[in-house]
Amino acid sequence: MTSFVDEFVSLNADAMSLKLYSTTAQDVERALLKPTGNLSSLMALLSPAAMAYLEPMAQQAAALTRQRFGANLGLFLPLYVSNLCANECDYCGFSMSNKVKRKTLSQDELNQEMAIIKQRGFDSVLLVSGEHETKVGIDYFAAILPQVKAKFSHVAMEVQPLETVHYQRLAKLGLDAVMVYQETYRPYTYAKHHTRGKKQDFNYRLATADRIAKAGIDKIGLGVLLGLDDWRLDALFMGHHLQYLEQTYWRTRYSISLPRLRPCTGGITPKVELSDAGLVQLICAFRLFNPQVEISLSTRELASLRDNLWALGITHLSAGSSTQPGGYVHPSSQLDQFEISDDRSVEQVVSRLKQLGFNPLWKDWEMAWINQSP
Amino acid sequence: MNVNQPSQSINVMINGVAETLKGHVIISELLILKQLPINAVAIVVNDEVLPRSRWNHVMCQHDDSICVFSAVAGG
Amino acid sequence: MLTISDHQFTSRLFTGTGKFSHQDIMLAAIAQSQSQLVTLAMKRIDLHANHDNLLAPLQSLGVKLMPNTAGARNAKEAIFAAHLAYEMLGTKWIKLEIHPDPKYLMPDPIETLLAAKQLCDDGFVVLPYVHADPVLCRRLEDVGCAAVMPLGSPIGSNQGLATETFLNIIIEQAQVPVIIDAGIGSPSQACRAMEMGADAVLVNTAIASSAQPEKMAQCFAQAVIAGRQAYEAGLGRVNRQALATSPLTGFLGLNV
Repeated sequence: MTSFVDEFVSLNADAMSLKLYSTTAQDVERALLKPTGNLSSLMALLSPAAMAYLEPMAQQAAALTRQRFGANLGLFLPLYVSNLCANECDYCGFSMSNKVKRKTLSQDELNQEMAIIKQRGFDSVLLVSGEHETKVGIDYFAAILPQVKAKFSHVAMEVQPLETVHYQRLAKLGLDAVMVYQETYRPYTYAKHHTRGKKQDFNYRLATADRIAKAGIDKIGLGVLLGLDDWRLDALFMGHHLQYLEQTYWRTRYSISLPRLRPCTGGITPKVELSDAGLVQLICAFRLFNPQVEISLSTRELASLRDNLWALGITHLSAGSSTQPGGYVHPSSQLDQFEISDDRSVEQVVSRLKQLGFNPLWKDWEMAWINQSP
Repeated sequence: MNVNQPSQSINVMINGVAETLKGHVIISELLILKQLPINAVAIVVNDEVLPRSRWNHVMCQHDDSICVFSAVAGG
Repeated sequence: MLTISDHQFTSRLFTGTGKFSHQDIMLAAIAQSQSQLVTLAMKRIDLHANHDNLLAPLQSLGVKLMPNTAGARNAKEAIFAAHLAYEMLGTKWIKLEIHPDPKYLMPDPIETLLAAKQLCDDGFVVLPYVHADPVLCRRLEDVGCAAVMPLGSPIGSNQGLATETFLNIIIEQAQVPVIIDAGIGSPSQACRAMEMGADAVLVNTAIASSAQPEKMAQCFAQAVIAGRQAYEAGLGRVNRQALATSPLTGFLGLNV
């Protein structure tokens, strides 16, 4: 199967890194003239030299986002269905050797979680699980998906990489989107942080977005865990990945997420510090690079920072999230995947968004009349 | 294709014009007969394109409609 | 260097052979244009006329001959014409042109896509002439076309790049060469097409119907070269938005 892996192996990381770090102010100014769809421009906008241009980048990014998305900000909530995991990833609370209580939601528990989420007004959920193929695999997902889809207009999933036929099966059941974050595009670093389990297979994970697209799923989410390696270079690789996917699978929509490494149970410290200014730079650079990509902001970040980031290019957010299975029914147990920083309720966030001039959206559009089979 | 039979006239259409030919003329010979170029033309017999490789092998039959096309200036 | 399928071109100006008042003028103009690809139509030969040898002089110019399917009103006829062209000229290159509308000669998108798929499957090198519809161009690319040829404005209208907005989208998205065809009426329009990032342009009427076709062909040649070089050098954007007064990044507390 042809995939991004074929293109990835032709990219010279050292050369890219050298070029990125030798970017001059002039390169940045030139990039600002022609940022859209241009990987050289993206590189310049991700460079240290671009930090002196944050305000003009922000102005342009904000204007582009308004033009494309209006003042709309889509609300979704993660719904953790299981924290069973067969991988060892040192940055994650669910890592298999972490001594946390393991849980997979039963039918009843799932219904209770969904009831609370619906009550809060949400119509878009992101099903999340650890990566445990035998105990929480395609059959489990295929069993729960129809029930979740019966209650929510938009259902996304962030679980272990699956085969194309599995994604096809899920697409027929109404799956709207799949998120699969490469975490880092540096194979050596990747190997250091993923020491056991199927997630060790870098290429298999890298080709997942291709499999999802070939299965005809409407939206694909990419992401890197900023801090595992040099965040500028990882972001640039993600830009290449996004460009390749958009050109190859032109009927698909794309989203990106920019999670910064956060403290978790047994967690690690970032390799390269990513400041708030760096996060601003990332959001603006990606928006300028791609006017239509959805950019999602989770509750990992502090409320005060989130409120300053909305305008710069964000299109989707979560609020009042729980990152543990059963966390909406029983909020205070110790099962968190990562620590939450913006702990405002959704009412508080919605109210603040309106204050800031945004239009919080529960539902994007009506899929009811479209036949789900690809 | 029986070359031992005595020749007999046949009626064909060539580019929409009725013609009488003395016998079952081979297509490639027809071009020479009508003083048409051999290169850069294409031949259609009864609404089917006749591959060039078969021009020496196919004979005109009675009531055949033969069209000869050439490249012209245009577009 | 422009690569289309298995052929490389150093000239990005393609020319048509129609509407010239005389064959000699046509040949002289094509020579001046430095074009390396010319399009030809096909017709039933006139049995009683003198057969002007069109091809030998063209071939002596060293140009690649690409027959078009003009006259075809649907996919079936276009496919037939393509096979005819192959027998006639021995080339699998074909410009797919299906316009059932005799007034504006607008290309039929549905018949074109159908014919393109069949011909690509049969091993033809298909260059389809279509409206500047980005999705249609992607569909044609998906079925295997070697390039796409979106129109600038109706054939022969000399109205220039009426479809500029959509040509930009096509150029951005295409993974095969984009050849802007039809309606280019002046060298400046051809230059503009190249500045936008088109891979080549096809010009016929503007040269053929000019008072001095040879000279006009020369101008087009220069315009295409200038436009392409400008594109490669990197054009600057003219207007920069003035910065608004309320900063979006002030909250970071950076002293910039």
